[in-house]
Amino acid sequence: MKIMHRLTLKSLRMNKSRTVITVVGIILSMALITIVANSVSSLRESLYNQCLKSNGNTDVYLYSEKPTSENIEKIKLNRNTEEVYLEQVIGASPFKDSSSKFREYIFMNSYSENFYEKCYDFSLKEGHYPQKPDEIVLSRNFVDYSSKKYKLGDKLTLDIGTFYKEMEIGENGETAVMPLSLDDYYILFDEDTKFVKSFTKTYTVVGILDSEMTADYDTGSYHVNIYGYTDLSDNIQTVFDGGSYKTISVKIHDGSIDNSIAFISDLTGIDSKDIYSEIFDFQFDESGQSETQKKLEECEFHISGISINESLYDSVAKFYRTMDTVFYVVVGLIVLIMAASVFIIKNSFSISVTEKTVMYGKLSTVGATPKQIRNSIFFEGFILGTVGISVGLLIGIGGSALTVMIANNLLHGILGGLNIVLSVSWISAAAAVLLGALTIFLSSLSAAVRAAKISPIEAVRNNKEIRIKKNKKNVFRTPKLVNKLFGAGGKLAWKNMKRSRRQYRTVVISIVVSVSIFIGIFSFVSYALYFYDTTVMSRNYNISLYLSDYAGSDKYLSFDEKEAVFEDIAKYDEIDDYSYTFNDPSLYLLYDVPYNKLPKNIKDYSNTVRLDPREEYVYDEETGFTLVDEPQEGWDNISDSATLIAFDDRNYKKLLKKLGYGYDEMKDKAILVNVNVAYLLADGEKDEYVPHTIKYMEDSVGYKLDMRYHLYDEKTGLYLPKEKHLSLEIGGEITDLSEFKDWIIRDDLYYGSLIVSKEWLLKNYPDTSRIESNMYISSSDPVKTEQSLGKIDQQIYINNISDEARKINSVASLVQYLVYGIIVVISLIAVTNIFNTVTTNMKFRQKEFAMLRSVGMTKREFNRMITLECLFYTVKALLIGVITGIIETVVIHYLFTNMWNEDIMGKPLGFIIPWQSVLISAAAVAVLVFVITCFSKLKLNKQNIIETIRNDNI
Amino acid sequence: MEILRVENLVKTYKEGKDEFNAVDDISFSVEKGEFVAVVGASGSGKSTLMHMIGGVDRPTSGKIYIDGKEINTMDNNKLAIFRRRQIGIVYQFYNLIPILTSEENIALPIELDGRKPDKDRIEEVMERLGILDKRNSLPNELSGGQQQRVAIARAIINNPTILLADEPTGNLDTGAADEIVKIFKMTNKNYKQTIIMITHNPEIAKEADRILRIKDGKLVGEA
Repeated sequence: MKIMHRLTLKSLRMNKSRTVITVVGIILSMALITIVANSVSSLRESLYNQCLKSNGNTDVYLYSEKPTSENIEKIKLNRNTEEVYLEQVIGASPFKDSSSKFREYIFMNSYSENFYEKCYDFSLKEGHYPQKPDEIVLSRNFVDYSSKKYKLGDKLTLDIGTFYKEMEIGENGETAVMPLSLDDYYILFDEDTKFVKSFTKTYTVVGILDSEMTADYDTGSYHVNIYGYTDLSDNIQTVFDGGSYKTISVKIHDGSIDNSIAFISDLTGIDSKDIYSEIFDFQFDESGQSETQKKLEECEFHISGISINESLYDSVAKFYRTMDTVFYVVVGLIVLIMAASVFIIKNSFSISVTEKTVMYGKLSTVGATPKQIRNSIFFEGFILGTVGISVGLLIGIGGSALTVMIANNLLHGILGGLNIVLSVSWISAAAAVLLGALTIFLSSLSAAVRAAKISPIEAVRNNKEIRIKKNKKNVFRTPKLVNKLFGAGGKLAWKNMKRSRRQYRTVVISIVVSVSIFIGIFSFVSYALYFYDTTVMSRNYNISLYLSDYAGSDKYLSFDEKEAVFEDIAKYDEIDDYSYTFNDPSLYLLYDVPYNKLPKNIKDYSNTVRLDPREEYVYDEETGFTLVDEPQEGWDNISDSATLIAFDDRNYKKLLKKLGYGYDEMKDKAILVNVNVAYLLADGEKDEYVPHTIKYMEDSVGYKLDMRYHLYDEKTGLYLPKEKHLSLEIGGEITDLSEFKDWIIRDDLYYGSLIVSKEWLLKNYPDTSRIESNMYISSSDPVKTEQSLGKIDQQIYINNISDEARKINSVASLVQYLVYGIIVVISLIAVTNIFNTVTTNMKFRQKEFAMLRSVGMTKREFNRMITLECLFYTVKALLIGVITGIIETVVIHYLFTNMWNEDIMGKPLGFIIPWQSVLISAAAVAVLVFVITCFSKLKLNKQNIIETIRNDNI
Repeated sequence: MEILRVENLVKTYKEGKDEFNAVDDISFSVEKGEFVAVVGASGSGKSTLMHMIGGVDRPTSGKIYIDGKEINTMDNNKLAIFRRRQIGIVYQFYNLIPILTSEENIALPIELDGRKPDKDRIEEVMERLGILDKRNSLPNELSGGQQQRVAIARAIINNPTILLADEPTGNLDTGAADEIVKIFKMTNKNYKQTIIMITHNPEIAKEADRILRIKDGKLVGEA
């Protein structure tokens, strides 16, 4: 090996600590970038996997009425086909052994064998997947709700059929009894539907699943599931004819929207554009078939419909859209880390080379060419870089695996069971390697150029360390204060700081960078959490539930029975506060608000975003009902739809008391939530939307609302006005929602809401059994409450807000910890850098210090000088860092203020002083400096004075 | 045969508006095999002159010919190569590479040339200088005199055209200093090595064949 290379290696070996520190710096940077990049790619991959889980791993759906086995075979043999799955809807059957009064039917779907194995991620508890027409597997919901226990080999005899309803099929009012698809709606809501059996069949249970298909997972459904086998042949008994019940789904190579369309086009011979249009363009004209549909029918496969698994391809795009903020934060972080890494690697390298300046000078005198010296520096960079980058990459990948493991544990059971898998992003690994290599190369380059420029004589004399600035005086006075406080030691320390700025520049910059980044990120997170807390997270209840009035077997709960259920729940020990509400969303009540009751600024605009112009159905003999929604001449009002809401007695009375109304005076009137709302109103003149804060209604108290019913008309599919009018006088109003900030009913106090008494509601509603009832609970033990609620034998849909809050909190915490972790690592890198620089500086000045001691400086004064030096530059660095951090906080404050809606929140966004982060950084820096000073003092004090002075080989 | 010729050599240092000539128009020549001593008080410019001859520093104006080649016009690379092949420099402060052993230090000029060192030759030189038993020692394990001898060995290993010595005995006690001078004399006599040595010690200067006196950057006398 060449002498220069040998020398470089030897010097690296002999200066172990310096070498290690430099390499560690490189390793840390590489590892960090890798971990962050891999976290993002892992999350993305996991979301994709989740989509696979819910929709299955397939691309194209072909619906066919009578698929022949030749057709299926042909599709299988197509060069783009990877896998062909067969799906068929069989029918429903009454669930005779149901243990729940709500799970009344069994729905059966059948699939080809490969579907169970490859398309979907079923988990088989025991047995095997169905392989013959009479074999079935039971899903978990079947097992959960079956009062009878089934084992493998048991027989299950089912009366299979579906729901039928008399429907109009022609234009002349002809009706026929038509079969309906399997849908809970027909079980529950449609009184005209009837279940009719088509056939009876006995199936053999060959397997029991530990799950069901994601689409079938529903706590509120009225059926359970079993799955069978199909090959789409006539051997499979089914209730349904018709195309949409038999599906051939195909997984193609390189699934994408374009390739899926190309596949269909290739298979059927129809132009891709037509296929695209058929799938994505919505056709309103339902009369007859489109050209493409005809062609699909007529082609050899007799396809009655096509669709593709778009959401699978969307998942990646969706990921970036919904995770926008997170994505940008992450990108910002990576850029930050890279910048810090570049800075630190460059510095480490620079130090390493500076140390060897004397050696290079000596080599130069012996005859080493500048080129040889440059090459040796590059060689050093190459060695350090190779080791650092490769080890860093490995540690990064290991760290990513660890992060994924930790994330899975923290997020266990949250976010819909998303399981995060490790996905190593090779692109970012390559990018990181490239960046690292580039940085090291550039650092070597600048060091090499610098080293070669120094003439051998200057290098030997080593006088480049002290920069003599051209126009500045070499003589200056040390501030009197320094002199008085710190004496001779302080004077020297001050002079040193002023004269050899370069030495400490790196240390100062390292500290400034670390401190300001820390404070900046800390502030960002503080604002983000505060924002989240006040706008999204603040709810006064942690469980909400909806009580369905369906009591099973075509029975419905009465109003009193519903109330009784709520009152029972209210008695739980752990419930701190509760409210329940009644309203009827199927009712559509309109009333007019005359212009003179509208706030002045919107009267002039006839087309506002909030208030639609009055909608009126005008009936004409010839044209039937038409909707008129443009302002007509002579109209002097706009219409609005009513939100009537009644609270439970307890809360209603509490509300009245607070507002100062009596029960008797209000019980037949409404309280209007008449608050300021911020809107964008169209400015006809300026032709743009202008923000306004307006009150809902002027002079509302005393105004009588004349509400018109609109009920759903099946024939026309419209909400048509009925004869019946409802009169309601506004007896009072709420104008300031901030007073109800902590009330549990706060979320129901929506602008425009009309609060009525329960009495009025019961008296005036046409059909009280259809009233929707919701309950909101603030529980000190939400888990216990949820369990108790689950035991009630009613159809209750529970929304555990605290669970959701926990989920969101977990994610927020995770991101927070990740960010802090990254800061810690950046700081570690900065610390190694600082350590590096300071120890080198001390080393260089050993002779100088030895001379000071020989001239007569006492140990104490010497120590003081060292301490002061360290103190001076770190205090300087800390100040700059803190000020920079505060400036960053101000910028962040400004950014968040833009998003903060002062009118809705009721107050401006307050400035969050980052005193915590400032204190933490100050403390950290203080500790660091203390350690360095002690270490330096220790090392220097050990010197033997005269040996150091005489030793020219330092 | 003329081995070195210096013509109107000037080295100027600038400090703001002030100019100062460390070497002020010096001309002389040296024959092959001569042992020349350059004497002068501190700050007289002798080191500066030496460094320019050795190609370690560049003159402001003037010409330097070594073995017929004009070296002041060579670029840095050529100069460095020239330096390691044709010139040996011995310094007052030895300038050994602290992480290399004596033997490795001596072999340095050869290795820098990309050639494999001749172990016999190195051994021979080391023995001549009485440091063979210290071949594997690092510089900080050697006394001042031993270090200087290693430096001399390094300087002569390539049989340089000229051996330059800048106050080679300045850092040594009398005994060691005498030894070094003896080595120079021997090398000069037995191997016809041209030596130019700077010293401020008149006793040591007497050992040379010829003495050049420098004062305030000018050549003021010969003896």
